[in-house]
Amino acid sequence: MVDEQERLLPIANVGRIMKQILPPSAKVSKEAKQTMQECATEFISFVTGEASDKCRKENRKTVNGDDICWALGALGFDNHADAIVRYLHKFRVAERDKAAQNKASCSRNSQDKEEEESSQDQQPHQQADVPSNSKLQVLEFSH
Amino acid sequence: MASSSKKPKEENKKKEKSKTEKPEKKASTPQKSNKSKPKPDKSRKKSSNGTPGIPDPSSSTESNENKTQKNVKPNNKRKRKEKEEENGGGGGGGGEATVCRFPMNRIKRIIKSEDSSVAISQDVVFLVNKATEMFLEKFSEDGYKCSVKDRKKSLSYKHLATVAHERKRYDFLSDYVPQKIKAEDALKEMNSTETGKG
Repeated sequence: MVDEQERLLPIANVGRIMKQILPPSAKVSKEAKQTMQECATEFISFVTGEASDKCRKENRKTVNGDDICWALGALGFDNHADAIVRYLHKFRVAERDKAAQNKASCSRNSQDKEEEESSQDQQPHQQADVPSNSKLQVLEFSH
Repeated sequence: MASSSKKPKEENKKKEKSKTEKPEKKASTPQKSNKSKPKPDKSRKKSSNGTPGIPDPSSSTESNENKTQKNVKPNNKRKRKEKEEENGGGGGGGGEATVCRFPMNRIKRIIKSEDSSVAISQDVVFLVNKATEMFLEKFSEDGYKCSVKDRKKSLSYKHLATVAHERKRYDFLSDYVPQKIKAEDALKEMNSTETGKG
């Protein structure tokens, strides 16, 4: 039972997606939700199988986003392929922004630490600097 | 017995220390009290079904600062509602595009079970997540149209099976969503095939 549930996507997520796309008055049976779980897993296997076959033929070891877009088009999900390409670009842009922000925050942390060390040597009581400590801790914790 | 009597004294001492420390800190360090606060937020974030997507660092730091002035619990509830709204909203801006509906780890596990030898990049997990979401939406829509034709208020297995067999796009699901037939008909088919072979 546990293995089967781990093989499938969470039924709550599946049910939520179905409810959001269907009219509010529509009802979905439990059997239908369970069927959708199975279909989603089969869809994932189907698409990634096709993408990995393509990589094998081209002697590549890693499946990338472009292979998935190609597989969707090859399997008849052309509408999805176009939208997925757009999502891929947005995802990559978001990842780049996130990496840039992480680098910026890391550089700020290192600068603040240097300032604190110099101020600590001069002033044992640091009522003014403590807020920056807390900010550092918050930022570090967020990493 | 003696040990039990000691403990409350120690606790009282700690409380007294904390009381003495608090007024000093309040004036200068209103944000130190947040040490413990961010933790429950993260644990609650992880407990959500789907992945939180890519959070904005600017918004997270601002929310942490605001916690000093407000209580923690209502902020967590607001964040949950905001997340639900983001997930529930249509294909809006960049934030909605990067939010994933399914757990990334589960998607990875399913992909690995299909083919463990091939390596997958992070893009792939995200795209498969999105593609699966779109597939489920489309399949649900088609199933619902079938249920409307059938004049039923609820979408049932029968409607999904009908859609899977009628449309070529869903041929790969024909073995997973077989149409239900009566046992009598199934036995008749089996007998006819056996007599045909014999």
